[in-house]
Amino acid sequence: MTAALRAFRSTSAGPVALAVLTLLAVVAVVAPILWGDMATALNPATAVLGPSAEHWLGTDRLGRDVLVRTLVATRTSLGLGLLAAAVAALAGLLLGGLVAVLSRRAREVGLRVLDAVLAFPAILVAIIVTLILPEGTASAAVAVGVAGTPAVARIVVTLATAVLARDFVAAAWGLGVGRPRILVRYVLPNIADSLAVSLSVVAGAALVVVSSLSFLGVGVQPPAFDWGGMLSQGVMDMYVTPLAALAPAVMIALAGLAFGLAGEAMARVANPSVWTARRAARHPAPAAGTRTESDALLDVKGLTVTAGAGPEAPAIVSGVDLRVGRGDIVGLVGESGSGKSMTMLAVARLLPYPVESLADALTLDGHDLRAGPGERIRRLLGTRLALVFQNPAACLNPSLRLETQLTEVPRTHQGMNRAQARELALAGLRQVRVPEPERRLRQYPHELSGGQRQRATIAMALAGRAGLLLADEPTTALDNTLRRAVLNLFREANAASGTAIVLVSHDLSVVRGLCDRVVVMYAGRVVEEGPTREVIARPLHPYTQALVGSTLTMTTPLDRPLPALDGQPPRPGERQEGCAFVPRCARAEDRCAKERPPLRAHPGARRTACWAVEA
Amino acid sequence: MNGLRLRGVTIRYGAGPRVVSDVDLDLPDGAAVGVVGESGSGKSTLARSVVGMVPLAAGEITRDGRRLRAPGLRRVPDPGVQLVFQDPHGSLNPRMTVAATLTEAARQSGSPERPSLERVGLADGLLRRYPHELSGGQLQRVAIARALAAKPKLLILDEVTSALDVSVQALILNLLRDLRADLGIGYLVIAHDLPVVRYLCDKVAVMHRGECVEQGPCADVLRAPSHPHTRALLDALNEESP
Amino acid sequence: MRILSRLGTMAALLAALLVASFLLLHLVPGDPAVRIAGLNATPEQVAAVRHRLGLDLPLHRQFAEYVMDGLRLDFGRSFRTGEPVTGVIGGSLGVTLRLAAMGITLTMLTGVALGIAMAALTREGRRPGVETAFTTGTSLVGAVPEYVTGAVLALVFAVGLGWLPVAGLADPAGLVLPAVAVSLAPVCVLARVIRVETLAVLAHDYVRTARAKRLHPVIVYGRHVLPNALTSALTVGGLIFAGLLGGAVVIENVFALPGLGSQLVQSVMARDYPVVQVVIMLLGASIVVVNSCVDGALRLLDPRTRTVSS
Repeated sequence: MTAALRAFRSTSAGPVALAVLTLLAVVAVVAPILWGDMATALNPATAVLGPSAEHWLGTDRLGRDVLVRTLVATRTSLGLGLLAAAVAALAGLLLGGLVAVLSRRAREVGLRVLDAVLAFPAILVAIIVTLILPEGTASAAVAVGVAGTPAVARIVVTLATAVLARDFVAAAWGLGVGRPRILVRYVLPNIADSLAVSLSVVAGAALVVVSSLSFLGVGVQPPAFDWGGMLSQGVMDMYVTPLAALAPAVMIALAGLAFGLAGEAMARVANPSVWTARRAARHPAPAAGTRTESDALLDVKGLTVTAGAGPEAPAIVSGVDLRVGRGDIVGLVGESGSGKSMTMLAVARLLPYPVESLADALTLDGHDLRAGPGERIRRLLGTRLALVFQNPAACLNPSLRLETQLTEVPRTHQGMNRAQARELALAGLRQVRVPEPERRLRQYPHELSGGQRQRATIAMALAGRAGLLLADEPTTALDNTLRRAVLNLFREANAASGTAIVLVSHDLSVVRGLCDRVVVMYAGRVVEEGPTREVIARPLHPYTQALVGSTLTMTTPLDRPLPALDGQPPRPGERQEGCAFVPRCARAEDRCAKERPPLRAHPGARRTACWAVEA
Repeated sequence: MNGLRLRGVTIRYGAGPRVVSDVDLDLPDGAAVGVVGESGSGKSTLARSVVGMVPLAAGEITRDGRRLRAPGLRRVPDPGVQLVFQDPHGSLNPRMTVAATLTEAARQSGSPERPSLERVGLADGLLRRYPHELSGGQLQRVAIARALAAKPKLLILDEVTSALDVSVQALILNLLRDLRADLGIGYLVIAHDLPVVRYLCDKVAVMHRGECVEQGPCADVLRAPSHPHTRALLDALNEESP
Repeated sequence: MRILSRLGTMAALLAALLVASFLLLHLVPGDPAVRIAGLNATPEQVAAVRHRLGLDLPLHRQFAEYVMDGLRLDFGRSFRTGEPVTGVIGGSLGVTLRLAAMGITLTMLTGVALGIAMAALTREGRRPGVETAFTTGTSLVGAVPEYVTGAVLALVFAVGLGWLPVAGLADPAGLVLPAVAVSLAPVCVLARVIRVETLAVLAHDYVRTARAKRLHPVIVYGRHVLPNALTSALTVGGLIFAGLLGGAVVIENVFALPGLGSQLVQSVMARDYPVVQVVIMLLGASIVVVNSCVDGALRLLDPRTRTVSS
């Protein structure tokens, strides 16, 4: 309980909203007792006065103190707002809960009816409902509550059906957990935070709508008064005593806002897991380096990637060297969190905020990429470097025709006109064997089959005659047949136009089929590299050995357990002095924990970073 | 026959085309059967129909001779068959601790004791954690422990390792092999990855466009496939590992 | 086929509206004839009123007459003034629709631009300060009811600075302040929706791909992001229009514009049911028609919902 309270206070809006709501509650209780008579006493002698020491906010038409009336009206206004919200919440929860548990077809009908009713503004519905209720102060609140019911019901249905479709509900049902218990233990806790936000927004809105009714004259009737009614009177004398209108207006806005903010704060208390993300400050981009001569297509030296700025920022990647020659196919392997994807994004200069990178050298085609985002670098990256992400088909924009997407790069960076770029795109589609390329260019991505989309994406990546293709887990989301097709396309592009490829993957079997050379990363560092065939046949580093051993193949022996790797890799902030693999390593020695093994050369163009391997 | 028996199972969504079409499959008690196929072949839908998450359009599923699922049959959970899902993050209630999840499962099966985490190779220290505080591999093991609490005769494993890193996959696969050896439970393994099925199962069924095109003992089917589609699946693998 | 089903839904909604507005008179507590004739009326007078209004007929006959009269654009006479309802309402529909149209244009342009700009500034958690300021600012302004905004705007720009007329139909500028007043809160709502929606679009691989192509940011946002974010803008656009219409009902009373809102409030207070019925019909029908148009526009804009072309 105290922890929840602390969390509530630690959210920025929480304390303010809490303070305002408490204050309003106190005023609502106390003000009518203290100043109830004063607020209603008529005094024509003091009518329509400006602010003075006696009347801080002036007086209204009938000579009553505006400040006192505003404070006294708190009880009625808040009370009616809460009553309306309670009616809406209760009726909405019941109605929404009912619709949510209906059969699928009945639920759809229910939803359509709700949506149709929801199309009408609440204020309109409320005005009409006041007509059919007996006249009285509470009627306005009930009318607003009725008007708000469909909105609450809709929210409940949307939230509940989303949770009901989750796997954990299916698992509970499969274990025999009954329907009521599923609603109480599984659905309600998972929608409570969103519901709290919605209900407090509803409360704020209800307060405003009740005031609106009073403002229009169909809500609270004199001699009773609330903020809305005061405001409508104040507006009439606005040019003489603007404060008489402003005071209730400010109160309405303040109360409405406090409810909204309190809801957001409550949501954060209910669900602490969503707001733990740390923010880091931005730091200046690395200074532009000198132009380096290098015969490699891509040359990366001493690449460090940090989550945030400054020397204290945890390192995601440390001191990585990567050389890719023209026409090379290199695999970058490691488990999630090893830094392989960040290495790739750093090369492409597409790191997400607030991740930053530094490198001793970072050149593509001999051009230093660390220089700022100048036109030359843009063109170089746009034409010579192409990226394919996890699901190639998702790299196509659903609302643009293929022609637009496939001709963008040549038109932007290579100065081609539309016809030339179109020819290039057609050639690209033909190269990846997309049938009827002319027709495809006029189509949108959803009109293509999944396989055609994969092909079109790869044609798009290669459209600018990219020298280097960076592919981040391009086959992980695909099944074997599609995987093979994508890998074949890569192989063909490499053979036909000498495109170099860096394939980032956690799966050795993908790398084995495509790459000449493999680089293995662990905890942000390269631990081993060499020709793929040799590394897989005879891994040197204990981590590579574990990785190779635990990869299932069609020849894995069935009579003994798989060599597995227990434990977790260290997180970026937790990395120690020595070798990061020590806690999971069977061959660790004293030295390993103290001193980090450097990447040392081994016969056969291989390198590894392990003390246990003889150099 | 004791065990799970699928006869003529056909599934379609509304008036759409058949997702699963006339599938026959036998899972005697304690057997491990794999269902392989590309995404969209209907294998996951088939698995979900066994636990009642998807209604049958035709055919029936029986267990130990008792009708479990059929068109129009009231859907009742069968504790004897438990499903373990692909995405471990979505299959545990984010608002319940590991302990609460396991206690709930035990309560449902009428067992007074909470299943131990040791059984699935986890430390008891994780009991007080919430799902968002665990790694994917740990979550998957909790999900397996929860399924075991019902003392099932059959576990349906729906791509349980495909969302995990290779090294973690190996741990889960070893665990599943140990569990089967110790408890004698059967598995229905849904996977697109042939080596996984080969490692865990005795029998394999190959699905293609909703139909079961080939089934038989793993060793036979994988050595000498008779259907061209099975051959294509195997070729895809061989090409990757020359 | 799809268009037919859309039209069918629209017709069903309009019919429901018709029934609802008809039933309104009968849901009111007490005998409508007594209410109309007045509490001091003799039983004979009440009976005469009942007969004149057809209230002595069976319900289904009454409904049939109601519909037939409606089709002849004969909505009866106002209880208040005795004039035909058509004359009382006259041009007020036009006033309200003009106000709402100005409001929705203002809302869409400002809200979408603001939302996308804010998403660009705060993507991937950049500039948390700006994000907090935006969120707080929009919830602050969004919580202020439109009549308060209207009053303050009138005070500052019309009374204080004298830049614009307070209101009035003589000068087109007279609708500016009311339109701004009804749009302010919806702009805040829309900008927040668009920001969240744009952030989601920005996280998609196709936007990362567009950025990897090193296109100019204007192209990335204008061509790759905007159409996808716009779909959601239109989805809430229908709701926002309805909200604006609700706001217009209130704001007309602030600026004394002779629109449907003013009519509605005056008739409700006077329990002038024939006028209320017609106003409800008109406002409701506008909403139904606009929502159907939004649905159609969505279909045209999003290629995925369009039928596959040759």
